[in-house]
Amino acid sequence: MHLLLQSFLRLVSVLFGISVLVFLIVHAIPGDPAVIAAGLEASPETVARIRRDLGLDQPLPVQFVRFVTRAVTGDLGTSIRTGVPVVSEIRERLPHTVILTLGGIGLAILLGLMAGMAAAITRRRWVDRVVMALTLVAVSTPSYWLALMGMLVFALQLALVPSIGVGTPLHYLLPIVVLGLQSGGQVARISRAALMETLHKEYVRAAEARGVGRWRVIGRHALGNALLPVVTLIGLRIGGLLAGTVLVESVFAIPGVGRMMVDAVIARDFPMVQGGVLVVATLIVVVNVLTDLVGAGLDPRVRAA
Amino acid sequence: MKKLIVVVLVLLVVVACGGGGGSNTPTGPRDTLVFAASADATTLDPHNTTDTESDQVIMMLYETLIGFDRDMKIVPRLAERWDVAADGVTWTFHLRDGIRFHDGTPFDAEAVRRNFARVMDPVANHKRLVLFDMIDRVEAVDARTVRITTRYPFGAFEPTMAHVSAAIVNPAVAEKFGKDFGSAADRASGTGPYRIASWKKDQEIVLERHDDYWGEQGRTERIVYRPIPEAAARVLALEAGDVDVISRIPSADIARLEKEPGITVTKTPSVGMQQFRFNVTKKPYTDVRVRQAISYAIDRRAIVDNLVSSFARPSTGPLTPIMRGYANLGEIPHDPDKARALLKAAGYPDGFKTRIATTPRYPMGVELAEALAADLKKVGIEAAIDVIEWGTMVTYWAGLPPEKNPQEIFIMGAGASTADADWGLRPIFRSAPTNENNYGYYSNAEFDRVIEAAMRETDAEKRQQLYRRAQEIVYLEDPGAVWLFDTLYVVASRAAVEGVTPSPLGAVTFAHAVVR
Amino acid sequence: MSESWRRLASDVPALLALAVVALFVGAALLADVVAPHDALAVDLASNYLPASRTHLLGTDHLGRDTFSRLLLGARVSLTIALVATLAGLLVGATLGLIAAWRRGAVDGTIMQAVDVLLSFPDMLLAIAVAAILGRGVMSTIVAVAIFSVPIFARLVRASAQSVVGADFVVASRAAGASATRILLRHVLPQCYAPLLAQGTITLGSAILFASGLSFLGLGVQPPDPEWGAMLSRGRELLRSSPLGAVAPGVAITLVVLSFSLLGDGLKDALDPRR
Repeated sequence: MHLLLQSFLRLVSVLFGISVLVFLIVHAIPGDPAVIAAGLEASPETVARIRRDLGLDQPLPVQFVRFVTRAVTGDLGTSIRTGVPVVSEIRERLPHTVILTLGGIGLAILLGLMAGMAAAITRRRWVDRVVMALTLVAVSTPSYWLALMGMLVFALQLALVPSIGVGTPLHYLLPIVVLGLQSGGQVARISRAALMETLHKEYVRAAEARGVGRWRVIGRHALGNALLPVVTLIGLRIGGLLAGTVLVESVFAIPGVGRMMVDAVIARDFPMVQGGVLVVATLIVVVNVLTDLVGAGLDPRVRAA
Repeated sequence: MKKLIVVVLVLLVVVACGGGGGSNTPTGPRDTLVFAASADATTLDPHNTTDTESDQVIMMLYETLIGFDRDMKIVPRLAERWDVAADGVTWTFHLRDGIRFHDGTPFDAEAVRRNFARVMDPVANHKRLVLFDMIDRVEAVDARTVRITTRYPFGAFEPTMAHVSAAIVNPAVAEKFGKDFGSAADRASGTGPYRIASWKKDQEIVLERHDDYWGEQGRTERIVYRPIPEAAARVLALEAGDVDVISRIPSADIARLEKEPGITVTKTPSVGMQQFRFNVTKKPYTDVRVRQAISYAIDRRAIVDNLVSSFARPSTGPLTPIMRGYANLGEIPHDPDKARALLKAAGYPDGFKTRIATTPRYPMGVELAEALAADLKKVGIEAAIDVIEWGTMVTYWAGLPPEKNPQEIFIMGAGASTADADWGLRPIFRSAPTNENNYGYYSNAEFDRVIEAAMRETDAEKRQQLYRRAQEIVYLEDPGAVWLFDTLYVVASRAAVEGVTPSPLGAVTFAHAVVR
Repeated sequence: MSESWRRLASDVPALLALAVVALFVGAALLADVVAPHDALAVDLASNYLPASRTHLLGTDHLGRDTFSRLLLGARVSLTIALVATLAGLLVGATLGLIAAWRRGAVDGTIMQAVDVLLSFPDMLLAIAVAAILGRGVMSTIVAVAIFSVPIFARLVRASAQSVVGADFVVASRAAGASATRILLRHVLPQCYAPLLAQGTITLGSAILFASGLSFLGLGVQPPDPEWGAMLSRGRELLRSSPLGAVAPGVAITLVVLSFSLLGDGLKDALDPRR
């Protein structure tokens, strides 16, 4: 119970920090949203009126207080560019980003653990290195490049999957593979290290000495212990993944939140930027808290404490 | 482990076969055409938008009283005929009978009046307000006659009325939603050949045929707009057959697509052009000889032939050939010796240092600046390049007084959305205290006089002479910019697609398009 | 230390990675000398040339030699990565040390700030920084540095915490040694190994991150060649002149991969538990 309360307090304070940070950043960016919204052919009067309509003529602290008090009630304002409430703009796009992120994580865990296990089981340095190198190549390639190459090969030349868009589950396959490969490398690295370490532990050796098969040893003892750092890593990486979907979303034309926020920064659509960051940050913090709790459940040391 | 490998292999084979077997050829015209836009529409309110991505959807949903045809000639639309009184300010439009909005409400003169009341309402403050500055009042004479009175004789009145922002929206729906009109699928209603069926933000806009349309019916049941922001992905999607039509194609890909058998590439002369403007309040650009020198120092031919050949033609004046009022003043030759001589005469025999501001928003924007800098270096001018992100760039063009604007030479893409000399020259070169439209503070007394006279001139012959004079001044005698090239609007489609209508305004419409 | 060296020397992939890194660092340092052409010389008439003996990797859209630009680009990209990583390491390590030493409220506040940074979508933060500072090497460095601060801060805090309570630290404290002295003398050295390994890996992610910025239209200013910018430019040429598009991609992948392998090797070699 104490842990839950602590987590909740952490959530609130981090979110407050995020609100301050995003507000400051948004207002430090040069560029007047009213000017951009009005378009290049507009008159100064039009611009001035838009500025007044948006409340941008108010002092900054006033704007901040208004932003926070509204946000608490679930009102994130209205998009400058489209005139639609930010909440509904985000609601429409969030599922796509969540699917990509979850799919990416799922595939990453699968690939990562498989690669890590292959490396750990064979215990030959070269197998280990080759497997790690292969996953590393994916991690070491810029994601948009990997995405375009994947599209070129699998959508155009082999015609296995659709190139862009989100119509069917098949549409998500290539983007998820790209995201999964990218993060899978890191998961592989962590799970390999964790597996190696537990395999050296006394009780594993003892079990092996008792004649328990290597597969069972891994399944019974090593895998469970290796999961802890993997969960921690996912907690750390979730921010990168959620926000990192932006490049993949752009290439595959997926209407997600990452792309929305980047477009919003470029158009100086402040309410969209603030709202988007706040929602994404909330997700990130919630996942962080969850992974902490799961981690606490998995780790006997934390459980005992 | 082995089992797993087998499973994976089997899966791969299944997927591969499934993919291969799916390529059945459809018979007859398809009921859906998919267009890959570069971005989603921001709004479907014609009175409140300034971006092409929105405009090209708007052009399918709504219509203007009079319109442009493919050659930018004025043709009847919702009005079957119109005339102007001898006073030059009273315009009468006779509306077509039997036209209905998408929801069935009849279209009449009162609807027109309410539309202009809406777009010109200073309190509602729509973005296109300024375009209709010259209109004094709009009256519904009877159900099928509209009278519009301008404050002064205005030479470019017809092209302004043909502009997409003069489109007639369903007044009842517009008044119901106010500012929110056009923000969602159920908040847009016009008289156009297609109506909106659904709009998922950043994902797709689906239009369906308006069966009650007064004119020639659309040939395809549904038109889908799918925004694909990444240019390389747009091209891939076209080649993979996932979309039927694309625009905004990377220049290197245009040449390649032209050779692809299954792809058709169309290039349309447009109102668009690419130029680099001088801030004439900054030394040494206060000196006309320096500006002329830079103009002669640029090898436009080399740029057009090598860098942008697939979508550009060398400039022959400050307007493009398809615009009303255009005068062919010829290409400016590449003459580095003349440039050096002019620089010497201006007191810069060894050149000087300057900065070129550009933005990747324009096709090849950064590369053009680099090519410019390389040419300038040959006549002794050292130009550093500032690549500026679009959102920041427009703040330099937002009505700053000269002392607050550090830019020296900057890229500018011009394209008057009325395809007329007035809108293409007057706002951007007439003397003004700030750079709200005249981004480079260009100021020339004779130009101001001529352009003002041309605007009020309704005699076509005299008007043309005045515009020719204005163009000579700004292009050759007292250059306000380095004009590089006129852009061609390029659209690529699958070979099975017919009847796509690219507009010289840089938009594409599908009123009569079909996929065979 | 010599034991670690011996371990590293027997790690073939790490050595190979070291060789690749050395090769690119050499290219970066000697770019002006070894480049066959002037990497900035524009010649429009000979653009998009295929590979040939004079132009090993062909020419780009402005007729510049791609190979020469790749060499010069190594300098720009590696400098960005190095400076950004060092800056992030310095700030992050300082924060981590302070947090571990002072504990309590200070620790809470610092880790709170780190949490905020970790929860902020990193690419968006980078775009914002680029928009605020204007495009260029400097803003790319700042953006990359900010995104690496939390990693280093957490790492150092974790390593330092285990030492702060150790007998010898308590003893020096009792003997009246200053906090700075203890931290620099006793605590920081305990963090060298993980910092070195993480730093090497961050070098690689910095290059990737910078290239992502270029993809979004931000990043360094021309005419400076930077790999990310070259690759991002090249994606439009992927089909028509693939060599110019693939070359910077291979360079990026190779260097980032090498940094990762080297980081892994260092981790293994320096880890006293193995």
